[in-house]
Amino acid sequence: MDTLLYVENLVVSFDGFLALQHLNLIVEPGERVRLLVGPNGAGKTTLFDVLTGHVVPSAGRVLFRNSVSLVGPGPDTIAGLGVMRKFQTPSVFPGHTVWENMVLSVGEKRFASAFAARDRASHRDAVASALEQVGLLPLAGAPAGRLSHGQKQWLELAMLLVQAPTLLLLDEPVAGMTRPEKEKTAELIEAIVEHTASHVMLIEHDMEFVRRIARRGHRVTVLHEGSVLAEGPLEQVQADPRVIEAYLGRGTLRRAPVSA
Amino acid sequence: MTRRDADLIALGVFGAIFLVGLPLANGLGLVSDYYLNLFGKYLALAILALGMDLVWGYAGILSLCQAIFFGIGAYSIGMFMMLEGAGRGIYGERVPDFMVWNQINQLPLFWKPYEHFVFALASSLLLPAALALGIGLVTFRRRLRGTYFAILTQAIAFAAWLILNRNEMKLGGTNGLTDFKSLLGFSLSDPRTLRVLYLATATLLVLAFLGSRWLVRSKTGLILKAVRDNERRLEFLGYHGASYKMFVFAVSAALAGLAGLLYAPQVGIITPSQVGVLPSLEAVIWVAFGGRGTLWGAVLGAISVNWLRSVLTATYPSLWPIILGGLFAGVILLFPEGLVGLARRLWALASCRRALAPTAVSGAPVEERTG
Repeated sequence: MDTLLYVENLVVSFDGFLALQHLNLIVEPGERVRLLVGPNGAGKTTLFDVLTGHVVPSAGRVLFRNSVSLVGPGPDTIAGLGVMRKFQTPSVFPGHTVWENMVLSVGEKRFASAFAARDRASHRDAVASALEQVGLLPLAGAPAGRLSHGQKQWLELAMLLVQAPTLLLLDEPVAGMTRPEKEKTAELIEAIVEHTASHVMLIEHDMEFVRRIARRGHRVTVLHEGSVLAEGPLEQVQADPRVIEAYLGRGTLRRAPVSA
Repeated sequence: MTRRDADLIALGVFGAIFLVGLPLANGLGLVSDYYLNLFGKYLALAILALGMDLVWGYAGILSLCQAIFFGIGAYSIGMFMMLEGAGRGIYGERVPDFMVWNQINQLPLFWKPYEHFVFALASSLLLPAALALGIGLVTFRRRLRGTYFAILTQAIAFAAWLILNRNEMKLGGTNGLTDFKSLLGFSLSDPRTLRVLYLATATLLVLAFLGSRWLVRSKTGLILKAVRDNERRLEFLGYHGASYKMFVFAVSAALAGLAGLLYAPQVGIITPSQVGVLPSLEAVIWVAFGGRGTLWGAVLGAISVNWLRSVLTATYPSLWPIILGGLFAGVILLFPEGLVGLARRLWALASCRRALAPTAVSGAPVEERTG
């Protein structure tokens, strides 16, 4: 079977605490959006850490596009493969202008090649259109540190979009946003799905936002205590008694904690 | 006036003063040979400061071993000059005088290549760069950074100082290398030779400045500042941060070596005391005083602090360390962006008075940009 992402039996241990326990996950090539939900500490961000080479799992396999292992290479190499990540708290270069943030995102990243050019016309167009898309073009000359929280989130998104990632990992893209900002972000993500070839994997706590994104029948994966609890369309997952228990019954029906 | 224009005008003024004005005044007898030589030393140290600024001010890597690189440059050219002068010393031996005192009659093997000027040149520029690459390889690639890197480099500087102090190193021990007679046949006691050395130093400083300016304005410069501000984001964008850090560290080391190369013949002596922990820290203070992360800050900081040092050590020699420490503390507390930051702030205030145009981004919190 063809897979975009194949995660098998993934185990991540932090000093004995199992952040991921035998997690299995498959994203098919035809899937454009995959939503990851789950209570705090379910291992969602840890999964992203593994996918981007930030954390090395103690066991398990991660294959990107059938054959490329994502276990072993560092974050820079994995980013070079087209797996890009937006962090939970906006992560941009505050001392650089918005435009410079974008310039850093396009073009060659390898040391020898990055040395050469600064302003290529094709890059200029790509940067301008990505900024246009997120509505930051008028602020291109402003230092990124002066942007509002939501604007920083969009800038970071534009920095990834301009590189046309194969797999875009979004960690809580609407955290801390106002309602209109959330709406705009949802539109942005829908535009990504419609107009680009990028696959989006999205962690979100905001259920309203999840419903908004998942309404087109995208699959939702529920993580709980480091493994997959349920998977499927949103309605099906929401009706799953195990999911209800995991969300509502925490503390009362909780399984015995993993010994440290 | 844009910042770019201001930069080039400043460079023009700088060149007019140090490349034309000072030598001309010296030729007319208005500035003594002693002062010209003194400024030659400051300008050499400004090249060291430029390197310090590139690695610390721009890339945020606090290297506390820049004086080693400086020392390699100075000792390299020093060895060449010692060998050129060998045979003309008080003992008339074929080896430098200090070796005669230490009963070394045979020139040590590692001294041999320093008979050649080209080798000494290469050694003073490339050896520091290679050493920096080596240090970078074992630190940056293992993600050793921040304070840990600073402490490690300080330990290396201390070790280098200890080693150089030993007579067994055959580099003159605590006395270092001194009593240079000539450089490429030109007597170092001739003021004309020193004038040429001054001009060479001033020219190379301008070239080093232009090169550094090009670097920090290039895409690589953007990447270096990104390493300083958010290395994690940079790596997740696909950059191998360690490569860029090694590169800028090597460039800074080569600049420090160049500074040492120009320093030794003008000052006439190089000792281990210029290669240890303290001189490395002093370079940090020059850059902080002048304005970290601005090339002008590095140059002005090095010249002004060293000038102040010359003036004050002549009158109150024992007070100098206290004054230097006070300067550093004062800069950190009162104007953390240094002289250049202070000048910019005053300039902004002045232009604000002239045209009350709001420049803040609409809807965004207005805060002073730092760094």
